[in-house]
Amino acid sequence: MTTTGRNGSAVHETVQRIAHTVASALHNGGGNPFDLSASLITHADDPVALAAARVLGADVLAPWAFLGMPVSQGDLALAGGAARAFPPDTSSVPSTWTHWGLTAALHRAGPGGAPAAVAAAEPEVAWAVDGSWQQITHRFAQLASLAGPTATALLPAAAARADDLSRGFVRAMRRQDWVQAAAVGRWLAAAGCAPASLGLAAGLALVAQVGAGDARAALHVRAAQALARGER
Amino acid sequence: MRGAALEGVAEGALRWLSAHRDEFRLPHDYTDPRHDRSWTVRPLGELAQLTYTIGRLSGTSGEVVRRAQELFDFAWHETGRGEVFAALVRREPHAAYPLELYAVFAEAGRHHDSFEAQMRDLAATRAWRLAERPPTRTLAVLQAEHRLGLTPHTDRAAAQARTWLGGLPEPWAYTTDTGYDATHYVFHLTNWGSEPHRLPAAVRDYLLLWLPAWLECTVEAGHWDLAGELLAVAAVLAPPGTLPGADDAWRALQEAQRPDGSIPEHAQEADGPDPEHPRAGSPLAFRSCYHSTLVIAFAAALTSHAAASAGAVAPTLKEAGR
Repeated sequence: MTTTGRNGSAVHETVQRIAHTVASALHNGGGNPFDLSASLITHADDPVALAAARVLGADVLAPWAFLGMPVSQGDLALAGGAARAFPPDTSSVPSTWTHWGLTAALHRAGPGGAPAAVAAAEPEVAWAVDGSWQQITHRFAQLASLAGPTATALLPAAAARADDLSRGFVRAMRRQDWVQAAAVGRWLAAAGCAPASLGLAAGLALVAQVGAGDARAALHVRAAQALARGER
Repeated sequence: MRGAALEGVAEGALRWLSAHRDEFRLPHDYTDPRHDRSWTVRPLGELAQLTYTIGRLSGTSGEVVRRAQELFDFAWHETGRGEVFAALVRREPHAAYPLELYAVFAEAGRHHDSFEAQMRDLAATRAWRLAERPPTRTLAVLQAEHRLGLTPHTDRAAAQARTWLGGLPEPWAYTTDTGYDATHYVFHLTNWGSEPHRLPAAVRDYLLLWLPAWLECTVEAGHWDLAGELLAVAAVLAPPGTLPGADDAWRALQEAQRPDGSIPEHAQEADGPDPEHPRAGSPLAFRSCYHSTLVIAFAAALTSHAAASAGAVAPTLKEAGR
């Protein structure tokens, strides 16, 4: 999926708006009804909204997945439209996994829970075994929307590389790459096995303070903090 | 021949240091306070410390050891066989740096009796014990006291715990300054890498975990001086070739080393009008590369020594024609 020029800029802005809305919901809890598509004030088939939803993947439905907040019909339509409009590129690990994550979340959140047709089997995860710490940091950061309350094969794979992902967290913090730091920190929180000397909670709190200018960083931090609290 | 190129890095650096040793000479009026000691006695002391350590390491080439020992002898001669330190402490009787810089000579069996007598008296005072210093510097003073057989002025374990590295900080708080604090903690505790067993196990485990990330960030920033110090620490921690990223960092440093054997402290300092010799011959040219060149010689020799000690394989570098 590629976006260019003015369209790309519009997608970026919408990604930020959606991420901000989801991050706020995760941070503030389930007090208010959550209706992303209504807050966007757009049509469910708006190509910019669909592209933005595909970028964020399963996180479009994170308030339901993490907090059990009801899902609006508009949000289901947005997530479903994004999955249909941007099918997976089977040659790409991130594309395959994030599409799988989006459709799996959609099926779980949809009417009647998880039907038998849920989904194709999980994509492969062999790449997580042999890659260098730099490579798996990059890859797991791309897949952060799958670090949620529902376990996949990615979770034990991340746990097995916890030291290496922690090195990636340290490097991202030093580079002030707040989105990558928050995304990797989210995996470490989900796996629950970051080395004690890392100081993950304090690191995430710092990202929330200094890196929240990018709403994707804020979203990953709030998801990580919810996972660390053991919500859902 | 594996490891030969690593020897080449050390040999090239020492060749440059030998060719430029006159730039380490002290000014005639070295006690004049208008001279910044950061550019007079300190470089000479650093030359002495690192060449002394290199000259004692097994597993390095005869050429490396010979040049290092010659430079160490030069440094001792240039201090007037210790008289420089005696003069400095007469001018600044409460300063610790003359002792810190002198201590390597005492360890090498080169003594200046009246300086040592002065220091024994000064180190027995309450004021010496109570002097306020940054914690990692306290470790340097403790190491110097140990080398001269003086009573430690404070509890070593407590001093270690007060340092940045000794307290095991969150590793993502790493900066250039804390990076130098961390490398010097290791150098002071292990006597410049020659006694690796003196590093506390918890600190060793911590560094094995986090040094790869620090090293990558430092190399990425083109900060060759600190990268060299981190590679020296890596050689203390683990057999060469086992710490992730160390071999890549060595290759980056080898690329950054100039044909004359020097290496700039920072990558951007190589970007002058003449990238091989920016402001060649000026004091600035010397200052911008003497420390990093010393450090890379030290780190390369220490890595060769560690490889020989462990029977491990030294990093495979390009067999460059230098």
